[in-house]
Order: sequence, then C-alpha cells, then structure tokens
Amino acid sequence: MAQKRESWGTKIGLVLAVAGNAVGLGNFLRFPVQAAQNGGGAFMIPYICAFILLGIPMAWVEWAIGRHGGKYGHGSLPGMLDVLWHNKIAKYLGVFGLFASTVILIYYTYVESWSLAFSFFSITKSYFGLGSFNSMHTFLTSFQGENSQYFPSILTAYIFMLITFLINFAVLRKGVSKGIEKMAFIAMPLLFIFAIVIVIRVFTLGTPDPVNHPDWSVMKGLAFIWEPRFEMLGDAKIWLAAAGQIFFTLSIGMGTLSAYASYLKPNDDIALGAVSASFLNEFTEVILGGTIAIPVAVAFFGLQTTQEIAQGGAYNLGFVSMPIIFQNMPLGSIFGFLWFLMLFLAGITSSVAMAQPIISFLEEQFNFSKNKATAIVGACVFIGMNLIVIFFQYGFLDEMDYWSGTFSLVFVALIEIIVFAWIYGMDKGWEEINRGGEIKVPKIFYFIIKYITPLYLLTILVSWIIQDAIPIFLMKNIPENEILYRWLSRGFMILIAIVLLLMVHFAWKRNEGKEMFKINYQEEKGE
Amino acid sequence: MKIYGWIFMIVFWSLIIIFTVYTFAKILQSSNKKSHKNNDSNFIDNSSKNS
Repeated sequence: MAQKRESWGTKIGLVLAVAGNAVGLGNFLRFPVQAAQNGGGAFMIPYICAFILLGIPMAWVEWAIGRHGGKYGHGSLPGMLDVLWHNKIAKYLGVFGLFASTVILIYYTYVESWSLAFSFFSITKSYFGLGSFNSMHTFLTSFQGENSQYFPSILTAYIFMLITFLINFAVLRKGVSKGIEKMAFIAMPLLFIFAIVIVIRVFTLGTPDPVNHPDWSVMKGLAFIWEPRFEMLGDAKIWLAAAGQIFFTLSIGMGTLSAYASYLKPNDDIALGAVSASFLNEFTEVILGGTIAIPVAVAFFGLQTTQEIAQGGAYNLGFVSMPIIFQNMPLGSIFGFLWFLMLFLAGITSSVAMAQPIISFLEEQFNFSKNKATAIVGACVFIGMNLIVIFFQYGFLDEMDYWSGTFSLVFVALIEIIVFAWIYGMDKGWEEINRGGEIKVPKIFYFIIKYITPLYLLTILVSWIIQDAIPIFLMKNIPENEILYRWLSRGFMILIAIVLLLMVHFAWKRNEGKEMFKINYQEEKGE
Repeated sequence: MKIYGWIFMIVFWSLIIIFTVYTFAKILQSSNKKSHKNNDSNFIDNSSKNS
C-alpha cells in the first residue's frame, strides 16, 4: 500500500481510454441489431431515457467511487466500497465487480481474437468464394473448431487467440500512462478513421443491384433502423432492451470505470470527463455503428433476409453476413480488413480495461510489482481462455456471458449506487461528483441518482431474474449435450468467485493495521 | 425513408454530435489551460531558482 500510485498523463488520454473501454464490439454489432429488432427509431426513445436516467448517472457514480477510492490507494471495487462504507461486508460486495470484469475478460479476449483473425482472412481473401450463408457459417464454425471443413484443427484460432492475448498483456505490463493511455491515443483515432471510411463507403453504395433488386438499398436499411414504430413503445420488453444496451455500451457495473478514475488526483474533474467519454461512445454507437452493418446488409440481402440475420444475433451479422457483403463489394478485401481491424481495436481498448481492476487489486493489496501482478493475471486468464476454446461449441462461453456479462453488471451497479447514494450519503456523494468539476452537474441529477437510477436498476434486475435468470439457471431449452459443459462453466465461475473472496479476506487481514492507519491519516489531513 | 424516420435520425444525430463536440472541446480546452498553468508554474519555479 505504500507504493506511489500511477496517474494519467493527460485528461484527453483518460477520456479516450474510458471511451475506448466503452466502445467495443457491441457498438458496431449489438446496437444496430437491438435497434432494428425493437421498434427502429422508436427504440431511441427508451434508449435516450436510459442514457439520461441510467447511463450518465452511473458513469458519474462510478467515476466518483473510483476517484474517492484512489485517494486511499484502491484501484478495485473491494477497497473502494470499503472506504465508502466502513462495514465488514462492503469489501466482499466489491468482489462481484472484480468477478464480472475478470470473467468477461477471459471470454471477451477470445471473441476479440476472431476480429483479428478475420481481418487477416479478409486481406488474404481466405473466405472469398464462400458466397452463401451456409458456407460462410461453416467457415466460421470450422474456425471455432466445430468442424474441419475449412480448418483441419483449432490451431488457427488458437494462434490468433495467443497473439491477441500477448498484445493485451504487453500493453497492460506497461501500466496505465505508458501502456493503456498510449494505446488509446493510437487506437481510438484509428478506430474513428476506419469507421468513417467505412460509413462513407456504405453511403456511396446506394442500390448495388438496381436492375434485379431496386428495393435493396442503403436508404431502406437506414429506414429499417430509424423509422419509428410507436406502437411498440407500450411493450416493456423494449424498455428493458434499451436499458440493457446502455449498460453494455457504457461498460457500467464492471468496475472498469472506477478503476480508471482511481488514477485521477482528488481534485481532478470527473463531471465533464464522464459525460464526454459517454458521448464519444454514443457517437460511435448510434452514428457510426448504426450506419454500417444493418444498412449494408439491407442493400445486399434485402429487408426480409436482414431481419432474419438480425434475429440470428450480433455474431452472425458481424462474422457471417459482413464477409459475404465484402465479397460482393469492389475493394471488398480492403474494406473487410478495415472493418475487422476496427472491431479488433474496439475490442482491445475494452479488454485492457477489464484487466485493470484485478491487476490493481494484486498490486495494491499484496504489494506485487506491476510485472508480477500482470503475469499472474495473464496466467489465470490464459488457463480460462483455453477452457473456452476447448468447450466453446458446448455453450461454455454463453453461460459465462450471461452470468458475468449480463446479470452481474446490473447487480454490481445496484450495489454501487446503494452504497454511494444511500450509505455513503447523497450529500457527500454530490460533493464528490462536483469537486473539481469543469461543468456544473444540474441539480436534478441529485434526485435522479438518489431515487430514479436505483429504482430503474431494481426494476431491470427483478425483470431479468423473472424473464431470463430463472429459465437459464434451470437450463430450459438447452440441448441435452450442452448441460454438462454449462455446469462445468458454472463451476469454473464459482471457483473464480471463491478465489477472489478468499483473496479479499486474506488481503484485509494482512493489511488491517496499515489500512486503518492510512484512512485515519488521510482523514486527519482533511483529504 | 418516411418523414418521421428522417426527423428521428436528424434530431438524434444532431443532439449526439453537438454534445460530443461540445464536451470534447471543453476537455481539450481544460487540458490546454492545465498545460499552460504547468508551463507558467515551471517558469516561476525556474525564475525563482535563478534569482
């Protein structure tokens, strides 16, 4: 605990890193599918409501929790919650945050490696000639090890997984300022340039086959996303879908925003930084993400097929439909390369953020050096990734994705806001959010953060428990051959949770005296 | 695309672009201010050392 903490080199670097954390594969693949499935333009109404009532308030809360925790030398949720709520249980509640970011990191890095692999396949035209959905789907599943039609073994996927893993941990080993911030400075502008180039290309496509399919056009695609279907607004499902999308896209409930904010100084601005990073993410998602995949799919496959593709989920859209489109597009291999490299950049800026809380935890609570902490986390993630590669086809990843990447996020966010607004106290919390602020947060957010956001979160959590968690836990509609592997996945997650709980327990026992000294010392100094 | 679609798209795009540009410009502004302040304080430090 005695070692000096790192800090961000520049404010722009921090905002780009936080935006990079939020901008992920979901911005380009999940958002357009959600919008198209849930009322088109009408989806934007609950989406904006969720952004204002849930996204922005939670971003402020997480930044405030992080900067406050960082003052006491904590870069992960167990310590941050402990200094907000001096109760024995607080640090154990923080374990949920560590759990979510660590588990998501394990499978997300693997998914991210597909983007790198497909950017390589695009430039080498490996999948060119596979013009049908079936053949392209077989190509993807063969790459993932489900069949040997195009790839004799899992080796190719494994090599790309290794490369992605090594790049991630090479960045993390360099630390916050020299690693993550420097990468954000390079990756984020590149990502924007690639996305803008692709958007321009999409707009210039017009109607690719005016003779045979005059109705298949980019404008029809935009209409599919943007034309409001108001009658759908009465459906609670849409409001839940919009809230879920805001959660995923802003990376709330993972502890990553607080981990990044913990490297701020006590009087640095958080009010403007949180809003700026959130809007950068929205720009990428709504304007860039919403203009690429779905409109281009409508232009090449027509509305009905695109609807079926959207029903098939985000991965089908990104890794099956898009490669077919690139095959039919002039300079398709280059645009395919840019598209998948852009997804890779979006992925890597998120995955390094997910590793930061657990690395900070090891450094701060066990006095490990940066190298040692990164190596230990790297080794554990590597073991987990191997399990995912081996059991991928049996739903191992899907199970992890639901419990850590969906359910835990809402649960952690609810814990955070209750501890922050109700236990630590909203008056102190409000002061914390506004201290050093470059903008004044409108007073109405005091009430939103105290009452509306927690209620919103509680509603989402209860609905998800009833709608999804119970059937998923009981393995309803799960194929017989997957059940054993899904239990294995659950066992693996329980093991991770237990290890984290024990680590927190022993860390606090070990640091008990030092911790109290540090808090008293800081409070005496009025910091 | 029907008129409602265009209205929705233009309104939401404009709002997002305005807020993104405004907040990011403010970040750049505050970063510049800070770096100027740091330069000034370095200058004062150096001049006091020299004197």
